[in-house]
Amino acid sequence: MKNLQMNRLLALLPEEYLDEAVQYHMAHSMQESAAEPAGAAFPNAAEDIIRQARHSRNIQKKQPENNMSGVDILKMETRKSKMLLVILAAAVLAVGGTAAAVAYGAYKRVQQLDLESKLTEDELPPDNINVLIFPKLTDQQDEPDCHGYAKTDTGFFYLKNAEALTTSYSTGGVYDWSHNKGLGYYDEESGETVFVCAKPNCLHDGNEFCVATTKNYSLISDPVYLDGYVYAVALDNRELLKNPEGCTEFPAVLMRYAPDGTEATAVAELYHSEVQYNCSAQMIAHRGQLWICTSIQQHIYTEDENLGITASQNDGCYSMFCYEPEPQRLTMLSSSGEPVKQYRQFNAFYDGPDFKGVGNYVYFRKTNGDWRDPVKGSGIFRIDCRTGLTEQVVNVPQGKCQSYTVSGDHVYYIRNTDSYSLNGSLICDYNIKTGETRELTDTTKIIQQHFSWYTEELAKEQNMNGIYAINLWFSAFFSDSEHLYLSWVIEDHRDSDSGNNYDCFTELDSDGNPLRCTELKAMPYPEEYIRSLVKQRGYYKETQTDGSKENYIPPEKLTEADIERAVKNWHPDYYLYDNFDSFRQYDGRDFWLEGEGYVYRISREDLFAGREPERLYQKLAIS
Amino acid sequence: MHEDDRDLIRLFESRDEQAIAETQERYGSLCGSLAGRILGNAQDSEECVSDAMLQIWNAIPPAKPKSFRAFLITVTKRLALNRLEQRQAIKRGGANADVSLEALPDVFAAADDTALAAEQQMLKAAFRRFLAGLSQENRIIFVEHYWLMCSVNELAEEHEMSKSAVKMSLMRTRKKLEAFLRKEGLL
Repeated sequence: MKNLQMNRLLALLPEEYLDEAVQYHMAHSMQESAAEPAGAAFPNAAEDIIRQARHSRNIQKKQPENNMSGVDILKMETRKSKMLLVILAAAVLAVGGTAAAVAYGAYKRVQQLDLESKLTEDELPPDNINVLIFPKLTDQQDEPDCHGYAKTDTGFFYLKNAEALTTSYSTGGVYDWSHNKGLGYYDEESGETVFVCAKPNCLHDGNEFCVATTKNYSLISDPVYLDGYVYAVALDNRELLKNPEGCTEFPAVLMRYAPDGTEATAVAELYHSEVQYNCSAQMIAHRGQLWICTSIQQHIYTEDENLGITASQNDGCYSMFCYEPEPQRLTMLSSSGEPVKQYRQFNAFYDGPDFKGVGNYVYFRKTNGDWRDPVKGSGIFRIDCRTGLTEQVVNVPQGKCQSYTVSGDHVYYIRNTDSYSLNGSLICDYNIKTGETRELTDTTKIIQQHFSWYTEELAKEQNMNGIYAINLWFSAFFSDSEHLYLSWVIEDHRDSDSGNNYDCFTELDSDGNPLRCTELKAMPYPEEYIRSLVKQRGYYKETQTDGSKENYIPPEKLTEADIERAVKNWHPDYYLYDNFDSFRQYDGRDFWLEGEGYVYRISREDLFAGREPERLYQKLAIS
Repeated sequence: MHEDDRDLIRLFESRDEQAIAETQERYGSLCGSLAGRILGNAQDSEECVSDAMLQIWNAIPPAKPKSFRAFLITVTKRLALNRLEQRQAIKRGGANADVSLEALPDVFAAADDTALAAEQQMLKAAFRRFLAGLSQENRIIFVEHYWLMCSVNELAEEHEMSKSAVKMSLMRTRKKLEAFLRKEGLL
């Protein structure tokens, strides 16, 4: 968008939204200024706990980043846990406060998982890698070291949009949610996608008897296929549907689906809340178990009669679980506490934990830590599948770990650094066996290899309205035994009236040296996808730019000629490749991509040769 | 609106000079930092905030802003941009602002061009619908960055997110906005 247009719009910013942002900004500034003075008097004992916990976190930050063995880390964590217990016990005695009790409850519920009878070191290949993205890979992969794709022998399970299922409720204030996904299946042989429901004459329209789309449950995680069943995390809506206005029961459950569509069962309750929250969940199948992370956030609004919304407060927490299908047992591994009102929002994860199953471990990334968090610190962690214990693998300061990948004994991660430009990052290699960290390469080198005009100075330069002249992002980050693969996008705003986006993909050797780079080829959306969009949304005649409604053709009045005209005139700026969302998985041979509505696959060689990916199936009817 | 802000407006309406002192105490820092981001100069920023206080003093009454602080920082921003233009020192890499003044609203001017006013109303309504459809966090980040001119660094710290995540949020919102405006036939 041109800056002039942006400025024109910004000039029309509704004051309630300006006020909302100012309020948030001021609240943070006040919080910061209150926290800054050393030894500042806290008004009550509960806040004193926070101060001590923050102090404890600060000590942790100062420790050497990577020179500890896993055992040392565990010992250190044990000492810290004891310290925390002492602090919390003192707090409970002193205040009897809710906050301390909640934190203690969270601590107490960290359990050890007994899986010794289930798995041994020899039973499974040590280099088996599972990663979570979307339709899931499982231990059922034939190839070792295969990141795999959520597939069975004959097709893929995935979340399929069901238009009839859009639902909206309001409870206890300003809040609504919508969910319109059912469980879908793509059959490779026939190329057809169907809902996983075998009920005769079912319309798959959200009716309560439909296995795939029942409105009784809203799927909030991608499906995972394991041992003949498909699993997904869902919100149980049954009480909500009975009592939309006064419902106080909002459970999240683990659903198990028969792949033939005959049955859907809630096999475990993950949590039970009296308040409706924004919920998300990630799940991975690894070593015969499901590893689940639920994350909830709530925006608490205070309404003002004159202005509408005037205040909001964020709250959140997360929990990790292991589910064993054989005894159908759910174990909570860690939890940051009950969803009660806290002082500040706690985002343990940005975009979820990014699970990756490697060997006997499930790795995850935690971007932030908090005093409520039983898994202290931030960086890359792993859960031992045999014991359920969590340990920190690499300590990366809060918010600085952009992405990571695991290959053998190496954890590669991208770390933001303040010593370089704002756009600067380092690719680091942590050797799990030796505990050593190598800084492989400054990402500036990677960019410079392809764009010689890119300099550190340029990256720092600011241009319009605080927008940096150059913006750089890293998105997908993969590895195999020989190479690292990094997808990145650079926004060039040096010309204020126009901006260029470049989506690139670089192959590096295991020492971080860039080997080859390809600029991803922009691909327009498939015609049938555009057609489906037009049919759903209608369209404005392309000759009109004033937005007047008489030129809008609603879906029900569209003729075939209108649709074809709309498809033909579809604005060409929409492309398949979008680095943020495209690259999902790498299986050692092919990259899997998700474009708007479709899933694609392309081999490594074809990618670097600039060829187009192969379209596999239409993932969603409408995004 | 906060009860305190209503008190402030009452002070302005009763022509009580304490109004300026109270406003300075409550919002001086906010206005100063916004002016500072635009002007990149402490002295200019201070003068700009003082000018803003004077403008508010002259504007209320008769003006009765729904949101006092939104009104105040809009005035501050406009004055800072005017000052920046007068200084004729806009250069890349200097201050954060490099915008066309004609694109910014004059909060006191009545729109005498009916067609323009109607168009602006339509745009504003569309913009409101778009913003209402964003998550609160993304909306706040968007407004803080583009309107309040907070840097990515500041936002990352404030929202406890990585800088990359902030950038990603901004880029996604921009893309959504562009798609929305195209869909509405406004772009």
